[in-house]
Amino acid sequence: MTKKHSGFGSWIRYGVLIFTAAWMVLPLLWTLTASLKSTDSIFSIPPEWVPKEFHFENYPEALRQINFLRSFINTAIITMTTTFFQVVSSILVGYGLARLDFPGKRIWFYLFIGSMMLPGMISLLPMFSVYRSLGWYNTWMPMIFPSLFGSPFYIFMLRQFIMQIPRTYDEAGLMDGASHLFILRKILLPMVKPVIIVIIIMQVQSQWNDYLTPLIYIIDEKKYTLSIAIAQYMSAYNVSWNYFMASSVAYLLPMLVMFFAGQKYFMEGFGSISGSGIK
Amino acid sequence: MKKGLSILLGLCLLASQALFAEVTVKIMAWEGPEMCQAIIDSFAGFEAANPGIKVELIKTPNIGYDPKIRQLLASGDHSVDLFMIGNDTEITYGSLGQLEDWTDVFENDSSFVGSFYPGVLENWTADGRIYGFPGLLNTYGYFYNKKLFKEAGVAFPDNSWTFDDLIAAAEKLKIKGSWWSGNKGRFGAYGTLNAFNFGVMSVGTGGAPIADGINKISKVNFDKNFQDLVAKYAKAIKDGAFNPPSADLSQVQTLFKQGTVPMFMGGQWCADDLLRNAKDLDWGFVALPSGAGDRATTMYDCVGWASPANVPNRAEVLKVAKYLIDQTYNKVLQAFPVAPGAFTNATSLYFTKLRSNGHGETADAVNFMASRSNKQPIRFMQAWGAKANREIDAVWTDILNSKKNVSELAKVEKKINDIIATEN
Repeated sequence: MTKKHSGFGSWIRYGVLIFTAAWMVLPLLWTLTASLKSTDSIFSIPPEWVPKEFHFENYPEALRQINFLRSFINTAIITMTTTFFQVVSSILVGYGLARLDFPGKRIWFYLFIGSMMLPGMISLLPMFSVYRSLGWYNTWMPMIFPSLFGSPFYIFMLRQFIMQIPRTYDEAGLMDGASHLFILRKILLPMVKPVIIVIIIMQVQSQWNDYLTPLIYIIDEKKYTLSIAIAQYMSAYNVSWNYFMASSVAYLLPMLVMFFAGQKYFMEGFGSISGSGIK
Repeated sequence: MKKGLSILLGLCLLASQALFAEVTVKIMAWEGPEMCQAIIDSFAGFEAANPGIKVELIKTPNIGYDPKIRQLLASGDHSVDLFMIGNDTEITYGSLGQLEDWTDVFENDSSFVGSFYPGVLENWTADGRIYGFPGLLNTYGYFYNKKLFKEAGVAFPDNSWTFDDLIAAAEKLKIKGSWWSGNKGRFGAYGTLNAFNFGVMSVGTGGAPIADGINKISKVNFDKNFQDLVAKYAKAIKDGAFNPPSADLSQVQTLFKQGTVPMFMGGQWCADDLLRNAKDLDWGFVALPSGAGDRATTMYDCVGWASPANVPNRAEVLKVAKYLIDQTYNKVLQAFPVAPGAFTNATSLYFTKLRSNGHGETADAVNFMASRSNKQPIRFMQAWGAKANREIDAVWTDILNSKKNVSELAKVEKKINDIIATEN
């Protein structure tokens, strides 16, 4: 039986939806319109939502000034590498905590959970000393290396999700002589695919937007990521807001394309997490 | 014989390589991409005159610059030979021994030392040592709309004006709004003055300095003269001549460009934006009221260049640093008139640019402030500064809103002096 909404109820529902959608979309539209304006018309009052003159030349100039392509390639390499390692290592650790029995298993799990409570800034200085002594200052390694050990939050998500899957699947595999790696790869992974998709989205997004790590560790401009390259427009004395907005649109584009291209999977992924109810 | 000749040839080759090896000096700047490009372009002449030295510029964002420098210095890394630095961080990191000590350069070159604006080098020192090269100065004053001044019958201010003149002008320029007529009204002057602004104005009117130094402070003082000025300001805020401290000032410069704000307080760098984006606006710039004649004083706000301790190729880095604060800034500040150089030779084209655009009074105001030998702090640069600022912030807004009496400042003074006594 479908529930019928009254006309007035529908109006309210659509009104709320339109308002919240506009609330989300307006900053993006403002970024787009500002990227096509001249510097002096960006802050005109009242604001101009449609520029009087379109300055399409802002785009090539903004991207040229910060060597966008080089930073884009750098960011893409770092993001893809960290995402791959992060997913693989988190799956392995998550599986171990969910399915294997070993001494101190609970302690390890609480250590992982506990580390999520620590603000990132606390570990900044000790980690810097470690990476510097390893000779990794001014390299991408401080960004890539931690991904080899998984992320506590992703491990937590995977452990909880795998624990929802009945052990009978594993037992059937074990009876047929399957190894743990085989069970994980062939039986469990297809079932945890939605969580993996969510982890990929979260990791790509957080790595793409990471500002502090490359800022601290990278000195050589040739190794800059996009977040650092674009921030160069925020100088002490003057900010070229139109160029900043133009490069920000180009910066956002891969994320938007990724979202729209994989929208179906993302929704499935997030939906399955909330549907299964992580415990 | 043949063997001997080949060894000799090899040695000659090695010697020639050592003699003609090119040294690359890497400099790091927090300026925007266009200004950075102008900086690096300015070195074409330098490289031609110094064939053994190549200059490379690393652009880095201004946001998060301090943690980046902190880690760079902590690492002992020499990927950068010269980097931009604020006065406060120069003193902090210099005292920690993390910056190259350039004192010998200043001690042995009196004409070089004499070319800085008065008071610049004295306040750039930490325990008598100089850990870098002052590059740019910031000065603070009021940008005013000449048309609105004329309409209100207010004479254009000059650099000898007083705080009373400022209040009187703001009173005449304010327009009271009324909700029934839809007239929003306007304040006479925009921008919230802080304790350090009053420190300058107080000294200019015969009061004691807010602190007994800039780079080394042992005592602060909010004397009667200081308190009287703050009380006048609080009354003027109540009267609507100045904006209250809670006002959103983020769009003031835009509104000024559109001709609706009579005057706002800002740094001289706003002139660059006005020159580019408000070509039809008739505006002027005047120093923050800070006394006249010998009593005239100004806030000390300086940024410059420093090197990590034990910087390699010291002689070449020194050549680049001297060129930077002199020739480079002179050229760059003509294209980007954001600030006067701390080195007087570097200001001629900056002032020419302002004058050629019809803003001789801006050039005069900036020069007036930069030339004052009596300089006051723009902030507490010491490690205890954050604690001291919290004590001021705790009462400042309430005093300006007339919710607390200015006499509260005496208690703040005692608390800050206690902090200094404990921390020093």
